Amino acid sequence: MIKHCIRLTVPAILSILISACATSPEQSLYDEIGGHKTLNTIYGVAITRIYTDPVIGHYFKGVPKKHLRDQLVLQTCELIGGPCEYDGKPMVESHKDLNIKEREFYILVEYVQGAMRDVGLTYQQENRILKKLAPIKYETVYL
Amino acid sequence: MTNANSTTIEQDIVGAKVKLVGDGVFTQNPWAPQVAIGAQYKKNRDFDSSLSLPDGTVPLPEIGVPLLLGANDDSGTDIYLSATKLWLGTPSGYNLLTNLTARYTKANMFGLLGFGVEGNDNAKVEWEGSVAVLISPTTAMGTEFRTQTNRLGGLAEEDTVIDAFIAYFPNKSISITAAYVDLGNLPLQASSSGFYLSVNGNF
Repeated sequence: MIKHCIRLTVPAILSILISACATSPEQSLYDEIGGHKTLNTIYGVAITRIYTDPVIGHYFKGVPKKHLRDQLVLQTCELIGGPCEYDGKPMVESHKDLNIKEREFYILVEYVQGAMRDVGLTYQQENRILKKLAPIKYETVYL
Repeated sequence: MTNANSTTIEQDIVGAKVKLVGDGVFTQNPWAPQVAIGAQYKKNRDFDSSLSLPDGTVPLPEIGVPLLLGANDDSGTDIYLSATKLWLGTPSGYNLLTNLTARYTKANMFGLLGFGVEGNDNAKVEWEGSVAVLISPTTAMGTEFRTQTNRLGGLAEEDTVIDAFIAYFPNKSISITAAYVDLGNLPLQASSSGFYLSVNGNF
């Protein structure tokens, strides 16, 4: 309510507050990109493409899209400073007998990158998210 | 040698490189690079290509530029160890690619001036490194340096080579690189520098 008043009376001050807020170290990457709504859109777009991919699509047979999407959103939310805690199966366990190859993992990464771009994240936001997701490679790929 | 401007020296290089350990992209804990080892066999084609003077005479038959400057051999093998790491999201959301390489070599000026010198045919360790920022998904710009053995001396004094480059790779099969390269001293051409442009395709 107070903010609303300020906006009506002193727009200049509010814009200073907003820009201070945007550069404040307290704002998480999760909030910066638009939180749950943005992540949910990103993974919605990526999963549609992943499920129809000729090389990696078969890994997801029998996995409900909604379940995977929710798990990925939850996991990413936690990794980029959102108010979430991943409570699914440990990644190592859910991937251990799949023999996923490195190049197959990279195909998935490119779909996620592509979805981040299509949804309108900046290149910098995309890279900062990838940095957090990168270590997952060694929980999923068979080496 | 008075006609150095038009002297052409060619060499063939055959190389192989294999990854030893690490993951330069997906291991994002600090200071754990991807390490590779490689070898390059280089054979200078003009080691004993005679130089002719403008009047057509050949004062020193079968003595090419490398031999004339005191090089020992027309071929050599470099062994190198290379550490590479991509720093995702650094600086300020961009990606930083860093490389440091130690090269065990006896090449003079990359081998263009032959290998080893009279009285010293041992290889020694030289260093090269690069830093590049990926400013977009398709563009990188950066700088490189490379130290040289500098054993011929005299006319063929060698400096550390440096360059600055910008590379554009619109897709996985094409890349275009533009660079400004400073080779330092070359025989009869002190402070040699120039622009470089290359287009590469993999199909």
